[in-house]
Amino acid sequence: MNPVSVSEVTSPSSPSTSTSWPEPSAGAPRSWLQRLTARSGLLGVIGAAVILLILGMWAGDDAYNLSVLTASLVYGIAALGLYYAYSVGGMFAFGQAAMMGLGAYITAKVCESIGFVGGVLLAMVVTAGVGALLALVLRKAQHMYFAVGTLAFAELCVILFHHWDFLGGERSGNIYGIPGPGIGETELDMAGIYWLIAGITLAVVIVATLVNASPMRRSALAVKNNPTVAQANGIPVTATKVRILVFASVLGGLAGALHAHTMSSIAPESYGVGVAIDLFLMVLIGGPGTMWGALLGAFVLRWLPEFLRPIQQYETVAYSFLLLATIVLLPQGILGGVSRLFRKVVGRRVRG
Amino acid sequence: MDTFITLLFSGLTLGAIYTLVSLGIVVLQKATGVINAAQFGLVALGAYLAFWASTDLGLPLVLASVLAIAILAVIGVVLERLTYAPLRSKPIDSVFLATLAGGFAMVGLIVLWYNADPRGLHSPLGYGTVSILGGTVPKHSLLVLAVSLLAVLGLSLAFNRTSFGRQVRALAADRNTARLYGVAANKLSIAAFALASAMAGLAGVLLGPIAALTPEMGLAPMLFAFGAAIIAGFGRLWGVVGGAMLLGLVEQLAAGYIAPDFRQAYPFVAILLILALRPEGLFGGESSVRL
Repeated sequence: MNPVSVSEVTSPSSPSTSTSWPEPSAGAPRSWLQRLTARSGLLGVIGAAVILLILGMWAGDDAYNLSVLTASLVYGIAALGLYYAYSVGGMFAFGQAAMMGLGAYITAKVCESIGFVGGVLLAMVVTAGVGALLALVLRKAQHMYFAVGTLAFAELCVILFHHWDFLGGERSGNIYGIPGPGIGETELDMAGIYWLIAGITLAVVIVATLVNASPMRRSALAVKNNPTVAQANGIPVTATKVRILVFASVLGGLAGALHAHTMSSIAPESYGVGVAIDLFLMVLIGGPGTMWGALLGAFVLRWLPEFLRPIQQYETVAYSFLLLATIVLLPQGILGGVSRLFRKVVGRRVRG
Repeated sequence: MDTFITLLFSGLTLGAIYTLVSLGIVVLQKATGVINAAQFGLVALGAYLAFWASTDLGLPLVLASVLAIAILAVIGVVLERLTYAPLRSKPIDSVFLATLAGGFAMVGLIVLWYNADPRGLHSPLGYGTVSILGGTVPKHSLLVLAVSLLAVLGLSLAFNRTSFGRQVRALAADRNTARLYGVAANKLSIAAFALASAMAGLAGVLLGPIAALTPEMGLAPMLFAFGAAIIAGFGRLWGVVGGAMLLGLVEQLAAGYIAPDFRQAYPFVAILLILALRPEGLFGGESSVRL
């Protein structure tokens, strides 16, 4: 049994609707290898690897499919970060798209001199710092107040990108000709880029699996559900929030840096509040109860324009109504719905 | 000094508009407990509807504005049915996201209607200016201040002297008890949504001649309005007015004296500072229900 009984998605009306993804039991401290090889974690990582492999082989040399797949993975990483901030940490983080933007603008500025790897790493370091700062600034702000604070932060970042020339960058914040990802002189083709991003995604999934099995996640859930009780049980509330938001922001920064390198041009509008809403839509439509939901949601949302092409000009409206419909009809997302269906079909399983 | 007077008035003008947006948010929060993040779409919709009525229908500007505000009240009812009614039992976070989605749906509809190119709305008073203590003040600023003052006074009267106000205050004080005593919370929530939307529409109509009409024109004013509500601790009406004026003045004075390029950045910095230092607001806690 878990020391704290927690549901990932707070719904006061029905606390029993928490999704039933196996929680690792809290026993004696385990090594990272043991955590990774715990049944659910290892299965997830292998499953993710197989899916990435199949998708890559399916896309083959089709440049269009490869580019949509790559974009799905990049947004998936950012949405995964938001999953940790929102579903695990209970933080209404509208700054995730801005973190992507920070990552993108930082790597666009420095990659000429320190290369792709250096740019991405610097983007992650800076967004970690900004995430920590944001969490500290907003440590007293709860729920809506946190949302307003992160919205203010997001708008500040967009203003900063618009005036990028102020910091010695390009005017109006439109940057073109960012070099593609690659190490040294080697230029990757579309398939190569996909495999690189798929590898990075797999690494992120492994780290996320480790985080899921670590006390950090349990502490964060406890803080989210009842900060006072968590504090009384010796969980440092502010430190936990800072850690979660730093992790989320680093994933945002990583995704943004990869976005810049794979798109080769960036604009402030790509990282505004509208994109933050899209990220929320990804987390919610995939299933806010599990980290896989964020990744699935990113795929759904990146492929959706394909089916919406005949009504392309209605995209913003369609997305908004989709978000509305998801919140009303499918509050646990696709994965939550599937798992409920699965439980119904299989019958009542006794869970310990 | 002349510059100061000019900046002072433009700051107060923006503050008055933020006040209207913010009071819409606070009234709705009192009546329903939710925070309406669709307000930015409603502000833009108000401005565009007035633009449409004055150009396509050829109505005089005042009539066009009144029509826009009336339509907005109806849209508020639709919004209530669409985003609030199905989510009454859901966590407040969901409602916030749903209303935000509703706002973006409006932005998308405006883009479909009049694409995203900036447009200009005229002021009923034209572009003339008057000289006050040496500073140049647009006539439209005086109109904004007068209309906003009337709106705030009207709202204050409605809240403290009418049955509607008493019921909303009762809901804000204790939702369950108020309903037990027969306050029709559902009917009131429709009325509150209509009122809040109409106020957003009024704000949009007044903002139109100052800022260019773009589909996302309401986003920054709504966030500043949230900031004003936070400064007021979601409490007293005059606290909201003070908070909104403060943010408007910060925006204009800092833009005038520091760096104009970052005009809209200053209120955001102020909001973050207030959240960091006094998240409970500058004018007392959230518990006050007098408004």
